[in-house]
Amino acid sequence: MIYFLNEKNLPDYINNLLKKYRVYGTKRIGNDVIFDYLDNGNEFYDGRSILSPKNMIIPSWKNLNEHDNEKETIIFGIRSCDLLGFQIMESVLKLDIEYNMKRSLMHFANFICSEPCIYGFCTTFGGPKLNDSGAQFLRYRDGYIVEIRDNVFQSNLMTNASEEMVKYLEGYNEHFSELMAPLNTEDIEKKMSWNDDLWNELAKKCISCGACNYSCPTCFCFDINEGENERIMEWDSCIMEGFTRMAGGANSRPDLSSRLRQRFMHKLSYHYLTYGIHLCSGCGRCYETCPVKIDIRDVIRRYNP
Amino acid sequence: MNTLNSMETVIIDVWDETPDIKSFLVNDVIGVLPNPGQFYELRIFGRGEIPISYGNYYDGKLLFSIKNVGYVTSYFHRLRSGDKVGIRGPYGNGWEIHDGRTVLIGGGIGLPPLSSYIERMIKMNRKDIHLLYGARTPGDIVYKEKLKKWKDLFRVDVTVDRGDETWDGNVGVVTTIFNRIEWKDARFYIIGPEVMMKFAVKELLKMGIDEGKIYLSMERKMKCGYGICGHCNIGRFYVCRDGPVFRYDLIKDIPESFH
Repeated sequence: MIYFLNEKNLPDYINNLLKKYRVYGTKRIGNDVIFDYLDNGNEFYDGRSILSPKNMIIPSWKNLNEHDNEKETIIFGIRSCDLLGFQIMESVLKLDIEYNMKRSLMHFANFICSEPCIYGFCTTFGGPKLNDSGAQFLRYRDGYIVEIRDNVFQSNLMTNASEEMVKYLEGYNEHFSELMAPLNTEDIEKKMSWNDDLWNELAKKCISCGACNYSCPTCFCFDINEGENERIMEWDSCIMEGFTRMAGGANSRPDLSSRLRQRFMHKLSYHYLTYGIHLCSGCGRCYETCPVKIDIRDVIRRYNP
Repeated sequence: MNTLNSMETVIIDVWDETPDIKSFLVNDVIGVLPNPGQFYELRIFGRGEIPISYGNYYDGKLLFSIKNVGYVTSYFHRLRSGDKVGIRGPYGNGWEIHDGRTVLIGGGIGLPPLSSYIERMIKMNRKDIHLLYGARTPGDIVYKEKLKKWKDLFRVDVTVDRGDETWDGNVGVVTTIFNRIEWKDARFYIIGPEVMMKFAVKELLKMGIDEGKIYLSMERKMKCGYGICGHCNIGRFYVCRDGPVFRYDLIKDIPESFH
């Protein structure tokens, strides 16, 4: 169902959710927008967070020896690119018992961007309005058009959407694509070449910092390391040399060019060949955070100019 | 069991196979009959986890043979019977039990994963297997007792890279005894160091063996064991989940499958 929520009512709307659930939402600290648990609805800030909230399922650092009490949680304010990231990662993570438990306790309130960001290219992967979320909020005049698929988001603070609003929501992706032209990814999974000199060229620039992996809403790779009393699950990076190094020292990707090739081919080819979906949501954070400005859009354009 | 949480089990017995390989017999606390060639994640609490194929499963006990090559394995070599370890699994696909003949080709510590297949075949009263096994030196041969027993049941050929005064068998890498292979229509199950598998495949193809009859058990860093941590990704496969056993024609075009 599609509703309208006046922005004046947004804090109370969130406060009502807080009575029953934990709300992990976007808020502002200085000029940064980050995800954190909200204490009240006024803390919420409608903006694109620095990082995706993927740490809710792949923690950046977690001691597996300590078991936390899982509670029903609402991820509030997640942008479409990050939400798509969750959906893409699910193709792999759904094999895990703990993931499924955590995921079943999560609800997503997705805020659709009202204007294109500098680095993003979400229209390439079907964004920004997705068709699968608990609730989707789209900025409209003095409030939000809200499409609800999950009953936890129902509220009597909302009124029914007008016909004009429904039309605006339905035509939104088309409108947005005019502002942000989608890149052509057709057959890129077949066109990408193992022996492309591009990988060597990129390796000359890359400083192997791993920022692209850590900022990516679809990078799910993690490592486990054990100490005396702790067993730490933490993000791992395929750009780092140790990623594939085995006991005894054998390493299938000892040079940087092979690791860059792995990153881009996993994203744009390998994952697609198994799941029919690219391992990229078009958020643009890898380019945004890259200190030497390696641009995944250039990789796509190389194969589909 | 697709979880990172391991179960606790006890080492019943430990013995030396070679100077750098030890065998461990542990209680199976999981209660799932593994497929030959599958592996488990074994854990030393406070040290770490390693993916190890099982060598045999009988009477509720699992046999693992571990070569001392790294951090966690070095701690395994300090364990004694009665010590506790963590275990989760079994993971991966393993060797398929099929109706026809099988030629098994193993190198070094690659014999234990073949042993699980052989022992299952013996249980099924099948003798249509031929084992070719290569080790660096006579002292590096694992499962010497088993090999003796197997020789009475089916054809076993053993070779060493470098012989010594006790050795009266073949000297040379495993491909030097490929002329003893009589079954060209068999399936070929190969496991060993990557360079050995590479040359074994090359030789088999030269002999006219069909690509679709060759199966390899691949090795990669496998942290989770069931396809979610991402380390063992090659091409569109995750070695732990889609392998470790791959039919050669499905991975030959992935340039990274051999490095």
